[in-house]
Amino acid sequence: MSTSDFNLPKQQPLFPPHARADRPLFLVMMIMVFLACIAAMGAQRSYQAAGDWGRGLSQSATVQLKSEDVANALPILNAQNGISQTRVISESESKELLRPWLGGAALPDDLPVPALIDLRLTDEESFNARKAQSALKAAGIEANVDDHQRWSRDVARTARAVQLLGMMALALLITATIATAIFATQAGLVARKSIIDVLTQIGARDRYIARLFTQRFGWLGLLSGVAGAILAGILFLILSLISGQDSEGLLPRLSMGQFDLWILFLTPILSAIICAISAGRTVRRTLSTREGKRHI
Amino acid sequence: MPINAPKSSPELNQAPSVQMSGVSMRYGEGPEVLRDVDLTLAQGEFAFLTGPSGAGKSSLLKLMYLREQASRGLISLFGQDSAQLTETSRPLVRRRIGVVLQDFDLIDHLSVFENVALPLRIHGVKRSSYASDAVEILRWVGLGERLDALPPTLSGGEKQRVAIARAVIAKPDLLIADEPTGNVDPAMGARLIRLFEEMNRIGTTVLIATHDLDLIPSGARRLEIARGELSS
Repeated sequence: MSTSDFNLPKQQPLFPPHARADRPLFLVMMIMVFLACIAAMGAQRSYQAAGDWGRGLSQSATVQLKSEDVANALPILNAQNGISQTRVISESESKELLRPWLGGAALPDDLPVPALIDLRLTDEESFNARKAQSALKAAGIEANVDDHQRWSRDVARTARAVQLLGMMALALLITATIATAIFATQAGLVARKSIIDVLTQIGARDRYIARLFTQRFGWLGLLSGVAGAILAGILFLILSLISGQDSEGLLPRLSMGQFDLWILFLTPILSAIICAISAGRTVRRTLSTREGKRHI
Repeated sequence: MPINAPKSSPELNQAPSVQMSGVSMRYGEGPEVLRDVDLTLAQGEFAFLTGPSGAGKSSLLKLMYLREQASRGLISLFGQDSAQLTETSRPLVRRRIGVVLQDFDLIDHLSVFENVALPLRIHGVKRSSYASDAVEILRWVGLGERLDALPPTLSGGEKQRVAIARAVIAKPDLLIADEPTGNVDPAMGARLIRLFEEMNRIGTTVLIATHDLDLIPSGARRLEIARGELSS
């Protein structure tokens, strides 16, 4: 008799493919991955923005002085170390800089707006703001030379804090994901106890049963991860569109970059790996404990 | 009938299939349900286990198919001390034991065919290799037309026959059946006993627990258990 003599039923997976007991895991994992993507992308974006601000601040300095002193100040400034370029900010540019703070109405003519000279630095280490200010003072020019160090230090500190916060959030989310996968596996073991008993009885090894759980929960982790990553991607795109409008340039503008795409691609894989490994280890441990109890 | 090749295991004529010495058993902290059981089932033996309900028949069988562990005494299966079995060796011993339980233990979402083929599937045998054996054994037990039926759609008798087919498909060295004819008509009961005899003829040790004394052929070895104590 050959197998073509009869119609064999289709081979089914040993665990029911759509187990109701696994649905909460799908939902929770989807939320975890969503939060992990948002945390990672948000932290990266904030860190990047802070870095950009910091770099912008540290590579430039600003001189505030009276308009009539500008012409005398320029040769003195150009003689200082570390300056690659000096540029006088025009009055209209100065007023434009004030507009976000004072509103769009015309500024009164008698408003004492200081003249500004923007210094581009070749090397922030060799430029000495105090020395530049002393040189101007020696020439009888009252000026304030600001190398933004106070601000750039704050920005750098904030960037590190944001990065740390993002990493902590990710670590907590990964821990919570592992715990969730373990709890879900234990629930899955209870829900499939009758099947496991049969498999054990007919001689299935623990690692065979563990592999069934590994495959099942790994696949579930991947699917829920993809769903969570898609949701995070959609949210990020919506935020990008919103942040692109009416921005004054003070807050980072969101746009999907290569890093974000990697996050969205890798997080579901990480979710699948966490679920698969947690499930496999939990099953092996539980089965081995159960077998041990039988043999006390 | 798919059973034709005699067994050729090297241990076949050496160690008994089951050897129990001074075995007692209790569930948790409860009273002993088996007391000082001494029993040897030689390889290739055919025996019946009888006794009233609650006498300890199922508990004795559970010790033999490694579902439970004795609280006292020594149990040896195919010459291996059951208490010394490891995570690796225990499944190998279980693969040599076919079990038919009163509650059938079928997997509801798998078809009759898949349930019967399960032992071979988990042992890594290719589907094309076991398919004809599974179909043939199902035809023998009268379920050749119900290959794709799911267990919840089967009658009690049909489920019992599926469980029996699953227990014998891997040609075990030891076949343990708990009331295997309890849910089938006398004709099918006689047919199933013939199946067990065929298994026994090729070297399988068979132990059947039953209430039905008419099932026991004259001259067959009969083990009787009462209040947890075995006599033969």
